[in-house]
Amino acid sequence: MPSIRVKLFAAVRERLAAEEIALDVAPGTTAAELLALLAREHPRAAPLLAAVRVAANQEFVPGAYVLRETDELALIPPVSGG
Amino acid sequence: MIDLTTEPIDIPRLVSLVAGPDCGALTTFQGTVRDQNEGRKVTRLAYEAYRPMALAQMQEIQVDIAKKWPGARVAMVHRLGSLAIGEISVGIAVAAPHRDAAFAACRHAIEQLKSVVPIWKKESFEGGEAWVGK
Repeated sequence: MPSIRVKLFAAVRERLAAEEIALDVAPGTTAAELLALLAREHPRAAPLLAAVRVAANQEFVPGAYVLRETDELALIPPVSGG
Repeated sequence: MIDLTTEPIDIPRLVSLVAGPDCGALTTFQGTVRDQNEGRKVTRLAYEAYRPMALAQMQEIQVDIAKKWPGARVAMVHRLGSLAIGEISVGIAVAAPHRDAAFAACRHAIEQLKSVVPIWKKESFEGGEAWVGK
């Protein structure tokens, strides 16, 4: 069962009160499934998670992307630089 | 040149980094902290970034500009940390052979930065604070 680590930023980091979370996921778990799983575990964060994009190895990935244990994963809330 | 910094942004330095005898036009953009947003009186903005990804995405914007506007050079710096009203949050300088490319590439740089680079701002206003972005 792959063990993954996910970096959190901005509003999501504050809501989950962690800069990084570690969790075990079923083999073949996708980026979209990760977000759904986190929304179930953290209902208060669900509205925020609905707007989040997933990044793997510092690139945005589509919902169908299959997570790998070696990936540097991050949840990217809507960006607001500038 | 691409950078994320907690130090004040020096626009003349960005200009000197991109200027050259092959460029007949040079445009700059600076984003500054405004004192109001959506009817609220803003007191400060705090910026954070997913640093390695933000730098990688800024690098991609730079490469994209070099492809779209041959001969154009861009320097782009975003400030991180807590900023007061009037401080520069982002600085961009673009030098290009001609003005059309210099204006267009500078516009492209700031629009792309605002849509894909993982940087976030938290607004402090009278009576509270909130993350910006939707």
